[in-house]
Amino acid sequence: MTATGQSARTTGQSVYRVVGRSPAHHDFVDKVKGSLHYAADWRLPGMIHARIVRSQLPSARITGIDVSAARRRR
Amino acid sequence: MKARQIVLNVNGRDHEVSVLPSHTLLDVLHDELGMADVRYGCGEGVCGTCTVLLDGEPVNGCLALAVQAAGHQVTTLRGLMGPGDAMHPLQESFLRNGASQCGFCTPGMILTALDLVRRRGRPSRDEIRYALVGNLCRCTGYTKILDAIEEYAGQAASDAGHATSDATKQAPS
Repeated sequence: MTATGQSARTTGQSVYRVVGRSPAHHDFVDKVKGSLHYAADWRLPGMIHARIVRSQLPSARITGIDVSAARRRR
Repeated sequence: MKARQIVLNVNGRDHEVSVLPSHTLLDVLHDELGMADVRYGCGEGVCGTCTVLLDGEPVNGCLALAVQAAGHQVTTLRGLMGPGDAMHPLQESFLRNGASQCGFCTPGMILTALDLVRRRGRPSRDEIRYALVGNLCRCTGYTKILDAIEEYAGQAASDAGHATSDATKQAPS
């Protein structure tokens, strides 16, 4: 839409790097090659994992949590 | 359970790995060998994102035990690529057609589709759709995936028709 009495001015197409083109996304090649890393693929220094451990017994009272095995993994 | 040493041939290379009998092929390829192109999706044979070729046939890595793959040839998506990381023509077709959104399902899609085209030559759109019944794309970018596979199949059939010696060559226009 242009305002009445004004002529619309468009910039020459060559000025635009993206408008009017179908550029590939920056990581598209990595996706098609299967080399893109997703959350589960990252390994960082000192990274540790969390795991939910549930009670084996219904309505049981927790009397203590032994985390010594987990601590040894660090 | 006792770990055992097995040799897995993946993409033409032997890997000696220590596995438990309960380890799936997916566990070993992704977690032990660090292959990012074999992905843990559902872990129960529904989504197809962990698809690999076992002696050329697509299998769900999460439903195959690692020990079952010993002595067989495993091919992952990266195994399709040529020297210098050159893309397979089917990968190029995915690229041209914008057939990869988040990209998570892409390795499974490509391996399943490649097996179909190898078996069926030039499958119909319905055949392609049916072959991909076990590969879920949660971006729902199926139309472009079908376009990419259809285009590649046409190109491969035309290459075979021209009996070019170089299978990766593009069809003459």
